[in-house]
Amino acid sequence: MAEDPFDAAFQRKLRQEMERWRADGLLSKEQGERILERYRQIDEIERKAGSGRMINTISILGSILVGVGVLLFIAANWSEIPRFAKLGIIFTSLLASHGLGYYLRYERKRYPRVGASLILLGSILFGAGIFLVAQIYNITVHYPNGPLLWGLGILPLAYLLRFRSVLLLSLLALCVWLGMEASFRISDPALFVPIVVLYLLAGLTVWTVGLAHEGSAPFRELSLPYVLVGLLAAFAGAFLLTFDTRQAGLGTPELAPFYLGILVLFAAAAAVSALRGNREDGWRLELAALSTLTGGLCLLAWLFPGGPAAPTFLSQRLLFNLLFAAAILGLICLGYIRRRPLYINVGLLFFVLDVVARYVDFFWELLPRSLFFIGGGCILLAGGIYLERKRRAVLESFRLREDVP
Amino acid sequence: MRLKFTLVILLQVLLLVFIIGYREHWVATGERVLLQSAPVDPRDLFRGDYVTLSYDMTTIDLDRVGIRDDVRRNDPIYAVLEKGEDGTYRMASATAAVPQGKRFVRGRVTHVNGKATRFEVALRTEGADVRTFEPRWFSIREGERATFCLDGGGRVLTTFREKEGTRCRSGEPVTGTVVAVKKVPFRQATVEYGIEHFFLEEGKGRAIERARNARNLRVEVALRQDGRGLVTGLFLDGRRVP
Repeated sequence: MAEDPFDAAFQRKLRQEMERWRADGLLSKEQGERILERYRQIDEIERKAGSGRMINTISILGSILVGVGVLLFIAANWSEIPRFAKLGIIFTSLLASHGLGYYLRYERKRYPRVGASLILLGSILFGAGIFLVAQIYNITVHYPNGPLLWGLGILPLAYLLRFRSVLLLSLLALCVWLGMEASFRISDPALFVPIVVLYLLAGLTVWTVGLAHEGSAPFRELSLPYVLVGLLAAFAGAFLLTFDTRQAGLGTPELAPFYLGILVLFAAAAAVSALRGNREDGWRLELAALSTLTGGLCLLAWLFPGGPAAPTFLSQRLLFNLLFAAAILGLICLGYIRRRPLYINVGLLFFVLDVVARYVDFFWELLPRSLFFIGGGCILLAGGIYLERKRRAVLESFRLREDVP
Repeated sequence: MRLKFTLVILLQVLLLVFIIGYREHWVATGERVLLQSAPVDPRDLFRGDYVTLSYDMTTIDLDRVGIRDDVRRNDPIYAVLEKGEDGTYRMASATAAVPQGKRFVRGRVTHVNGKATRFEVALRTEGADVRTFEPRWFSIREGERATFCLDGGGRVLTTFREKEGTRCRSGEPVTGTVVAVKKVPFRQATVEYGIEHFFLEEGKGRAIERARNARNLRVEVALRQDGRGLVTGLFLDGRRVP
């Protein structure tokens, strides 16, 4: 779903800028009027009927509500409906939702947004169908197969129609599958650090898959859900490792198939990204950081499941805390270099979470905690001073150039 | 575009139809066996009410059935079934290898407790003969008089001192003097067979749970040749539960 290029925020900004241009004499009053006239129509539509985004949001929320309602209806397991009637309800609503959505969006073309939401509803109903079948046949063996089939079943649809919403749903279902499947494989149910590390690795890989989508025009729109889910999974996983987990091992040999899969997928995504990816500033830096982190952590978890031999002065927990702080800082810097507000926002979110978590951390003495904060703050301030000096030097060089006749 | 869209949606429908067809074939061709069960009642996040069914083969005493090898989580285990006089099947033995020429259910080990203990209690009954029982937990000392409540299969449901004056709420009572109490260590495996869940209409799970202690719950299973089962029905006091 393409974004509305003429949204209200853009128009506000345009008006402000145009006033400056007029003051500088770059734009005449007539030209300004003609430019504004272009957007006035959109403005009026938005004022009278609500913005396109609002319609998107409302219809997506509607789809989610209906989908959740159907899931609950199935959960009620009403015994008065015979088995085949229940299946009939699911098949009919699945086909009707997809069919009507397609008709409204692509054939009739009058309700493209509602049509898209109905197709999203169809994707939710597909998942409902899987759970209904499992319920009817009392299936419990290998429960993770449900979310796996759901995620894989709607993935082709996301690519065919370039729907971010369906892709996001698919990625979420696959995330659920990953956790369930991994805990199924691990023999010691109390072992949770390998699963957290697995999510971290999967997050980094999904993020890279998102970068690989940026290069080719037809798939560029699908990059955002990958990057978003990947970023959140990777940073949430890393954040959990900064707590006192009391478990040394990062991985277990039982998860070897997962590590292998992640390495293969990562290598493929990194190769595509390097060959055909987005060539904006900082792409090499981002890819290099992702490769080092994924490759290093994956091999560490796979080959040294007992945990690496860290120097005695540096406990594993302190090491994770320092690495996590560095990763947040790195992400925010990368966001500025690559001009990506998403990176900056996610970085700031985890910065706040980390500060709150470390402030109320009972496992550390007050003194090291205070040193951690003061040290971190000093590093940031020093960075600020350095950047400000650099900026001033660049500005001065411009002024010198202007002075040259 | 329309063709591609139709194909993708058809793929989703085919996937669902395949799962349904596979299970229907299983129900149609699998042999029906009745197993004795005892349920407990939780709630499933996606799928509403269900009862968890447990069987005598859910926890296996590895030492008693003669499995000497190291058993780990996710290992397969085979419970060999034997038909009782009442028409239900019970576990006769268990093996780590596929049993030949016998009726069996295939399960997966979910947990191994290497330090489990069980009680062996000798009770001198009114008729002066000594019978041995295996209650799950036992705190009555030797020499005291006790009452054991037994289910249809002779297993101990509850025990209490005779002087407590309690009566068996369910099961047949046996009263006598405790002659000997022995604590026996053993290796216990908890096994999942894929026939542990039965989905019910919302609110009906509790009623079935209440019937649990009466031990009159039977599970109908469509059992394939390879030992995989699928729950097809539940019988409470001989009547099918909708």
